[in-house]
Amino acid sequence: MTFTKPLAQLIGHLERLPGVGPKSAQRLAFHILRMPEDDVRRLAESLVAAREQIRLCEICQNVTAQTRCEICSDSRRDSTLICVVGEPKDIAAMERLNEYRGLYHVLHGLLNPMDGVGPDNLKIRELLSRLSGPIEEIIIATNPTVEGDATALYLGRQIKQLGIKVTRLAHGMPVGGELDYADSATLLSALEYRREL
Amino acid sequence: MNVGEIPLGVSSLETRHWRNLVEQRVDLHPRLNVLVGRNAQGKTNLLEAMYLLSTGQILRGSKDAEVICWDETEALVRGVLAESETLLEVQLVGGQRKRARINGSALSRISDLLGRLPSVTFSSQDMALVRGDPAERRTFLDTSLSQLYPGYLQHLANYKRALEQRNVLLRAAQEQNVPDDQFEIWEADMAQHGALLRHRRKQYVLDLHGYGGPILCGLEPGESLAIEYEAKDRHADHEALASALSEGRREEIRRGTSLIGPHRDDLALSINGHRTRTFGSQGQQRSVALSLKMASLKVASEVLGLAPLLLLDDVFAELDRFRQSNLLSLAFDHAGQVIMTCTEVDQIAASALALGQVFSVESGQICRA
Ligand SMILES: [Zn+2]
Repeated sequence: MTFTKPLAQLIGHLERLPGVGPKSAQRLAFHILRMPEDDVRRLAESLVAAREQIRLCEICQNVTAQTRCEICSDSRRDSTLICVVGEPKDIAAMERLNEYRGLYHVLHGLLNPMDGVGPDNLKIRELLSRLSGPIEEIIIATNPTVEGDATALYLGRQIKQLGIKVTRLAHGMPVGGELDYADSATLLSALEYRREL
Repeated sequence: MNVGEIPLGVSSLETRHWRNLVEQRVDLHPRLNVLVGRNAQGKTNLLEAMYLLSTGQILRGSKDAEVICWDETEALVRGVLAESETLLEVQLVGGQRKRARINGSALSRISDLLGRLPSVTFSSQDMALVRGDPAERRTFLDTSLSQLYPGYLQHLANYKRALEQRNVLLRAAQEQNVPDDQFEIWEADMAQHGALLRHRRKQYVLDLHGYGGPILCGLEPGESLAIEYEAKDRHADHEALASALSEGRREEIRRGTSLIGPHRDDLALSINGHRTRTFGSQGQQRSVALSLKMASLKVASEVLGLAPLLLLDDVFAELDRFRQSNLLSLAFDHAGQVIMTCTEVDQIAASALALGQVFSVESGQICRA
């Protein structure tokens, strides 16, 4: 079935979004056609505004509307401490703790040859260029997956060469969780990374 | 069954929209259950439902969607463990991941079912253990070990993932320069998990040979079965594997694939020094496959201190009375609950039938006979 040109174009653009198949693209397009014209205009404007105004922080590569993000501009934060994460959403998780007072660095992905992601596709050069100033510790907080571990190892080696302390977030049992219901993978890593009392 | 071993089994089994078992509920005998029916009536489907509860997996050859009744959107298998009265459930919804619950609590991964109801199966497909590619025998080792050590599965998954990533880099390096440090980060994971996989597999095969060598299901007097782990390279520990991976890199780039590590190993089976894959009659090959499975039953019961579930699919028709009674006494010695299928009830000795319960299976209906 062929749609009239403006509709076909809209469907085509929606279809290119991640997680949107041809069927849901059609459904979204027809939903947009039924929306009040003002709402559609505001949606379109917010898409353009977000694209125009949101950029990567020049220091930590987090998404921000300024040149420098709020965390990097906050003089009360400890600039000798950098926590390295895979994605911007990981910062939000750490910040909810309200415990960590250092800065961040977002890699925007993990090393993954199968998906064509090598060191040059991540914000690694930007991280290394931050290490010329006074740094106490780099905390690597990539996911506990094969790719997260490989990325941590890659960064760890490069940073250690510069004589800077590098740590990796521990992985193990969820606090307050019951041993009986822990999944085997978590329990196994908790056993491997056990510590002396 | 040895003294002190806990017999494992399911006291009642329910299926909903599971293959042709549309709505079935069966109370099973704690020791022996014989399912009798013509082909394609549903007796193997019940065996598969038990396997699903045991491993969270569908016996090979089937995709998830194929096990859901035609025209239905989801299937459910539910069983109560005989000893602990634990309720195990596996739910399949078309197009989604399988979900498992224990006593109503959802598990984060289906593989967390492993270890609750360890099992050993034997069917005609297991002839591939003797005749098939090395991959068949590695899968046998890996699935057996995952049941004994649930953490093994995680090491295996991590190893395979790192191996795939390294293989992509090996192929990329045929066209462009890939710095050593990019290889090393995947090789570190391969060495760590690979050494562990090899260690577990070698120990397990020693046990199979030690406990299992004497178990000769159906072999002739004077024939002796040797079961050996065949590592394709000699690098056993973590460091040796890591340096071998780094040294072999140049050749592996040329070949475009990883040549060192447990993903290439095999299980060597031989009778009186002759490899059974190429040597031996069909009868001998079947005997070897059955001996291997019964040895794995015995090892599982020794390692776990439990008597595992034993699932035998249409095995008896091929065996004479002497070999049948031999197999049954092994089953009773080392298994907890036994579930077997056959096409004619008179294939099985009356003295054996008296020890358990016979069910007739017809058009997806299971009835006590
Ligand atoms: Zn920033």
